[in-house]
Amino acid sequence: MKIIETKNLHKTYNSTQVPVHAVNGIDLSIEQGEFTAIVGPSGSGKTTLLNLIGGLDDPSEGEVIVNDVNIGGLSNKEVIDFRLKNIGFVFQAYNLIPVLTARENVEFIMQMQKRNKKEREARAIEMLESVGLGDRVNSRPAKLSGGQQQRVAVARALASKPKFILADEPTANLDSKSTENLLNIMHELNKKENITFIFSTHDQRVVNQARRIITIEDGKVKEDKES
Amino acid sequence: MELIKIAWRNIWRNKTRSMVVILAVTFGMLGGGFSTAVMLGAVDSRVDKAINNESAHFQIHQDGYLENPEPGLYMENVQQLISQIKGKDFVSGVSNRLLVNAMIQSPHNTSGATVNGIIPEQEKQVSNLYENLVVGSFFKADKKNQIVISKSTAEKLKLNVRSKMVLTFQDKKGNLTGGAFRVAGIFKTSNKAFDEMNVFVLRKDMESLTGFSEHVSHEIAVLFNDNDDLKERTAELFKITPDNLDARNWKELNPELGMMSMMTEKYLSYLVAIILFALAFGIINTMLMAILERKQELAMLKAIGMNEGKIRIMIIWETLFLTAIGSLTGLMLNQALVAWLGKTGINLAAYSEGMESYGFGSVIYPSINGMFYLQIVALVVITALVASIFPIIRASKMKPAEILSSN
Repeated sequence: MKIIETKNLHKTYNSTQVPVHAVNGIDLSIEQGEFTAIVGPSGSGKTTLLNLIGGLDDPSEGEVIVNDVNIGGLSNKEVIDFRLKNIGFVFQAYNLIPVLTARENVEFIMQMQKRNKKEREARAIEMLESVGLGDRVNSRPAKLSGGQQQRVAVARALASKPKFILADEPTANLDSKSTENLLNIMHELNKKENITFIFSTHDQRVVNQARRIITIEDGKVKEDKES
Repeated sequence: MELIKIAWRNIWRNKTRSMVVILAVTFGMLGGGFSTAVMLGAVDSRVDKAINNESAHFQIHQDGYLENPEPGLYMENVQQLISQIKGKDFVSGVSNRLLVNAMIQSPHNTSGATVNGIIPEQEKQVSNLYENLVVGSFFKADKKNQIVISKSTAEKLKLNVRSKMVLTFQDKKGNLTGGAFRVAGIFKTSNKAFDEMNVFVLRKDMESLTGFSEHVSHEIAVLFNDNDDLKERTAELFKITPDNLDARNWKELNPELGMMSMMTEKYLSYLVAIILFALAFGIINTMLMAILERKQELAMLKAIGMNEGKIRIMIIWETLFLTAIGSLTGLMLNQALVAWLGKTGINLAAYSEGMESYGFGSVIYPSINGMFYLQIVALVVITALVASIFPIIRASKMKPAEILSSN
């Protein structure tokens, strides 16, 4: 089942004298349950493409269709709500709320979804256990390692029951062991629960685990292959 | 609830920065609150003394007497009116006075004053003058032609207790009359002008010298149980006062005092509002720094689906916490200081002469009322809301894609 489709997607930045075509006519289709890596050199347009798919940025031209909804046609308020209900995000810098514990960080997104307290607590603990942090639920981010923080971020992304997860360079700040650990967890979740993962990455270890690899260069798809 | 919890924890992320702004608000509130308490204490004390030593709460005169205090402008058959007034449950005392303007002569000097012909038992119920004696007594029952004068009059005329002096004034028919009086007591209030302008004699002595009967009066002074409900009580006494008489409450009798009381309250509200307004800049600065430091986190919150409204609410709560903690601490310290100095008083004896010329006592007892605290709560909320506007605008301009990609 197709969950993401981009049609003739363009993003041009005009902040300098010479327009920068960060995304330059990308047509993509991503199916439910894919484990896809978007790779390419720095400045190739990977992050911009993820931002456009996640509704964080507006395309200059073209369409992003998620679950049959053209997110370019949504108002700002609607697109925020759409992200809350459909997309999970994992960022390179983890971006956890430092004043909340791991459990509270995971619960927070469910609270925004207005789920009841009992359900929130149970799912937060379940998600943290699924990423191997069942014993650190009450730790604040500062007390966790980088790898553990990123796993909390994955648990947070999963907690909202999204249609897919967008992960922008999720292993960039992690050591080898943490990277392997995180990749194993995401791979397991992908296999067992059919959760769609889309990564932008430089990391060969991530690329090695991906089942589909889309190579971007100069804002265009250079290669799209199944591994 | 989660937003409040996050907001509360957020303000303690940078404890030093938050404490600086909290302390600024604390001392601002302490300064504003204490200034308010001192000024209100001084004004309340002045009003209290004016009521209890000078005018009482309410006075009745013959129409036109206050504008032109002629002996002939007196009220007749006042006993029934006095009985009616005494019947009111909020009235604690009524004094029926005869008043004449007189020339006072001693062997050394001459002065002018209003002679108050009083019945001491009645007067004690409406005035604390008898408590302000510095020497002598407030009349002796078995003696005639006694007079109680102020210390400043005594000094001017070089008189002492038992000294003799002569009063000259008009009688009921406008003829010049007078008598020799012996000083029974010397008083001193905090109002120099009142002291210089008033002397007190027994009403029966004055009746015999002026020809006024016991049924007439120049001034009926009424003291209430307390200072509450002045408007309602005044209205009630108006109803039983005949139309040809002029009835006024203390604010109408001393319009400058009423205005001072009202203006002080207004001025103090503005003072505290200005202090909070100035503090708002510090709060804005702190909040802007906090927002800029957390832009990555705010961008993430926007990205994962936190709407603008919730971000605004979170910032407002943070601003409110900073403002409220400082304000509450400042007001609590202020309350403790006011409670302490309200008992011991602030002694300004070094400036007593200047203060007494304006009717103020030399010891000020700071006081503050509940309404002030209610006003502060309202002002604190308004300040927090105003101070959160700029941080909210800054946060709402943040574009998650730009901020998250720039990391």
